[in-house]
Amino acid sequence: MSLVVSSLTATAQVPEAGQVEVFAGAELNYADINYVRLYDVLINLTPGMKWHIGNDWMLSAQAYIPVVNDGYMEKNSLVRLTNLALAKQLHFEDHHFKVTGGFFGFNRYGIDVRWMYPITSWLMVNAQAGYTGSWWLAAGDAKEIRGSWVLSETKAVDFGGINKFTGVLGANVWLEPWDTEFRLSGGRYLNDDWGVQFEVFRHFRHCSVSAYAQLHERKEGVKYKEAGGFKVIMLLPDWNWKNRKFTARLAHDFRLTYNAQADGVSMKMYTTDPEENERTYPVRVSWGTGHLERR
Amino acid sequence: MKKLIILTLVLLVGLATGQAQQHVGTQGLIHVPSAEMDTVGVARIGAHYVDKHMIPDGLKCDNEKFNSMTNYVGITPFSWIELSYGYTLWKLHYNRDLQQKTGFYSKDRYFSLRLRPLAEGKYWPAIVVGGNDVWGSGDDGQSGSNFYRNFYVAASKHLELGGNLIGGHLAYRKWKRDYNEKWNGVVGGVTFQPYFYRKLRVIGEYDGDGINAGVDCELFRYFLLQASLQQGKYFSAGLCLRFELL
Repeated sequence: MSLVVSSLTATAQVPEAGQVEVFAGAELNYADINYVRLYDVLINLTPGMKWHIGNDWMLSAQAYIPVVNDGYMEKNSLVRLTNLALAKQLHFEDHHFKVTGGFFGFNRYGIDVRWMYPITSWLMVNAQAGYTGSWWLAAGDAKEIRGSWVLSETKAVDFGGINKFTGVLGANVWLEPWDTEFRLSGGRYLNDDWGVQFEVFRHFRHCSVSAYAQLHERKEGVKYKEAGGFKVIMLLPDWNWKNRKFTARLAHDFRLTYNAQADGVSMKMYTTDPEENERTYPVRVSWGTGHLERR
Repeated sequence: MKKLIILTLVLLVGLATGQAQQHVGTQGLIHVPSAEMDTVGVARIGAHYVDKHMIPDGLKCDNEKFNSMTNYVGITPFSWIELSYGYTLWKLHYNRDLQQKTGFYSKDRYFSLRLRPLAEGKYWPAIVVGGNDVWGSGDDGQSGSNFYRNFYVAASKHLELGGNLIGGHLAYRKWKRDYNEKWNGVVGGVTFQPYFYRKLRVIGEYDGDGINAGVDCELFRYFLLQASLQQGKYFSAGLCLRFELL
């Protein structure tokens, strides 16, 4: 179960060119996978920044500063870089793209392309494709990873070291009267596993909740091929200090993901944005939650 | 006597109309399901102290039942469906080593689901079909649990008399585990919300094993407090934070 409190920019608005945002959040992870132990707990502070260069270019960076590690692997106790990426959004009538290159979350580096295409007011298709290898940059050593800096095609960090293609295809259905969204997606994920996920979202003014079910390949070390759970994404009060070109703000959203099987490796995908969340689409589109009121 | 005084004090400090929270995190009476649904868009986070007599017999430590706590989150995303996730703290020997001390080192988790195919009307009751612990590892799981697994169909009808709201609730329930069979069958209860304090609710119920009595009330708009005496003598109580997402 992962509880993420992170900042969320108002995606309904186009950021002003040249604006720099510095934000700070926190991430709470707790695992309930040990039968004779209540919880393993991991708390990270997650400071980050976004520089909106202009013309839909954005440079982002984020670090994790561990505060509490009780039960998680030693490497999670290291201060480390978790995102450094350059992204560009492209909009061609109804086709919307986002291309990102750099160092992503889940310790993957490479290139990622996202596509979103609203077909009708209630149906949108989307896709994601990436070619990534593993990376690691931390202050110090851990028994799981020797060396502060790792960039290798062969030395495994989390999901196998060799560069790999991953890709997901999806379709979203939006029910306007109830702000309810259905998502079906499937593809190849970081553990070289193929899987499909069905998710139902109920979007409220300041919160989104979902229930999801997954069916995936059972790779080595994975006990179940089914999984499911729920997610909560809650927008927090918009506390910030800003001038014309600089904004310092607190976390804007609170994410909580519960996965009943929690094997930690199945159907995982890297994140390219330090504030990536399930409520806000990765590409700016006027569809679904893109219409919901923002602060 | 002490527990009765506590229950009375809770009754007196009740501030607003409330909907009861079952200790597993769903709408209902005390230990009996009802067909009442919470307001659409309401989320709940709560904790409940539970006397051992309300806990399924499968949850034991050294062959003895124990008092415990439950925690839960729940939501009513639509008027016809309610979902919740909760757990009961489980007392075990540390690392399951009988030589070690006992404590709450584990928990039994469960999901609950309620569906309302029929809302209450002027002449007909509301109908809800639901279950607790509806999905889990089952007998293949390490704990071999399903301690809380039960399914039910419930009906609720309210009448207003002299400004007071009286509710009648009836359910048929079936538990999976044989050691819970005392709670099987027809169960039900009556609720009373006085005209001068509609947010206060007095509950009397029969859960298959005995008569339970309790109260719940809403405090300061966001808190819901419930206290009960199972079989008139075993005290349980819980506090819930309710907030509207719409």
